[in-house]
Amino acid sequence: MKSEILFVSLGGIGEDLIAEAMEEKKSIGRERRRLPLRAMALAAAVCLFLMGTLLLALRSGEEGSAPLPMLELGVGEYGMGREAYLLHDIDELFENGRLTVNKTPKTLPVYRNETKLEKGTFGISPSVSEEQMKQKLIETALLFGVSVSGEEISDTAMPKEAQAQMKASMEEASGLTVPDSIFIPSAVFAEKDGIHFEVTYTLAVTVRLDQPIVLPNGLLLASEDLTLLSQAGDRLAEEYGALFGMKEPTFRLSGGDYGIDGERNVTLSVIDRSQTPYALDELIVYGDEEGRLKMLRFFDRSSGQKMGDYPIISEKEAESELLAGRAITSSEPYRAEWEIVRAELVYRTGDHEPYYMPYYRFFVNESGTQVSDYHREKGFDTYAVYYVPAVESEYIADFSVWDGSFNGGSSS
Amino acid sequence: MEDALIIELFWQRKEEAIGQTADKYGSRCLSVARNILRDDGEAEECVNDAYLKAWLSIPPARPERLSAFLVTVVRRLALDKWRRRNAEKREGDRQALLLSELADCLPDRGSDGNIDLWVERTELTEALDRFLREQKQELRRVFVLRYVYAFSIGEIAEREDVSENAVTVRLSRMRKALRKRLEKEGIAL
Repeated sequence: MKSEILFVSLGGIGEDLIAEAMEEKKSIGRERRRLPLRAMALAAAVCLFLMGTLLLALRSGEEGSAPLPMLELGVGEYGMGREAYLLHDIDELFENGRLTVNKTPKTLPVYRNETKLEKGTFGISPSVSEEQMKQKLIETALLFGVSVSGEEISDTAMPKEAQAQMKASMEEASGLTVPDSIFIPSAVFAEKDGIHFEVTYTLAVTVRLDQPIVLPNGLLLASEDLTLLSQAGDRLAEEYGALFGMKEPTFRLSGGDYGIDGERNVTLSVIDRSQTPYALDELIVYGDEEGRLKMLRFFDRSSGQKMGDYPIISEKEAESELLAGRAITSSEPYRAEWEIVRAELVYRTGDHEPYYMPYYRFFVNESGTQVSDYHREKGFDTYAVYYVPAVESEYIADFSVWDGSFNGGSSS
Repeated sequence: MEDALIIELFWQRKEEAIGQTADKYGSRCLSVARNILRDDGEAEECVNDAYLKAWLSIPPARPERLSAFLVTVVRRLALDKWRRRNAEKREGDRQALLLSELADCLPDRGSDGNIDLWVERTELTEALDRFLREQKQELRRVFVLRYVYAFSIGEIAEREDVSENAVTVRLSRMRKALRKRLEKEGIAL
């Protein structure tokens, strides 16, 4: 068909012509006509900003404290993967040991994520230095009675010569200056006395034992009995939670969803009950097939600057935001016909989050639209997750929702 | 991330290249595929195939503009899917509508006694390229948005901030001018 040939041939025209069509339209004539309106709009925006600042100042004056800083969220987390749960019923998802909180608190604290990963023009830039990573490793090793020197620490960075070559190549290609931070290694590691230590560029710590530790009193970390697992966890919380600086370490068992192989996912972790109303620090515990302690992973999230205690919206208000399409998700935009089966207040703690702040997490039954035939026959369905900032919107400077690209998410 | 750097990742065979490509151009590719196929699932498949094709083509290719490269690949894949799905033109089908509009641009071989040249597709592409570069930007943009990106008249009107009638008129003018140009260059199929 000749028109098909023409259609295909059009695809071979110059790349600049194809790109030009998607560029933002520039029209000098229109800009001139619009200038007076734009000036008015700018004036209005300034007025609104000043009024907003005045309102915030008045409110903080009422509370007797400094104004709360605006929170700049930007787009949600980056990465591949979809956060959704495979379950027979939402009640299979559990979290024992979750700190209880007033369901609609008036305010909740927000902390800056000091180890945030920045996504820049040239890739990911960590907020921490290699020195900080090494220092963290040395300190962690000391907790386990192991002395590690700087020379004994290796890293995942490419050799310096290769870094220099790549930097030169990128600068030549882009015409821009490439920051050195993109060459900070993603992790530093050391092995000594049968213990492997690793610290990532978000200062997450991993301790892995060549010789797994047998727990006392026959306790196992590989039991299907959640009661027995909890007992093992309590023992570990007591010993290792304190080691990592937790004042009131308590064991938490969470999970309950299924992998595609039908195995149930369970996470064993230790949290600090003294961190109210939500525990941000987390020590995840891993056992081997025989139930022995094999690995620990610690996330220090409470050391960052506290931004303040921010007013919180109600669950009903958050649900309205979800219905209006203003939510972070790695799934499809929410459909009104899908049932919201659970809502809870959580803190998002992903590596790219600018703040550790509260969100309403809504679980939504996707009504069989996303589940495979194989799993549907076994009685499974999928539950997508949508996050709505719990902080009142007047404190949020920008909030972009999922734009259709693939994202991942995590929360605590 | 700049295109040059993403392409560098392809050349270094780093899988991050796909993620970066998806982040930057995923929406645009999906939009083009949807415009042709009118089916979300098929459009997504098409885009994923396009990523794979990019991975297999770069290297040795080193496109100057990654977005244009991807759009070209997605269009071709989408058209293939559309052909397989549709044996004949269906009323209301956007792709069929696009093709019927373009049908008038190409002179028939033998319709004019002086035109007896059988052209290769590359010659046609070069002729189209020359023709478009000589047009005013506002006409060229509308033409490319319609027949490369497969946007609807309404979508183009919104993007270009003009009325739908203006878009229709510009497209009509362009198709007539294109036919005249191809006749003048002795290009026919």
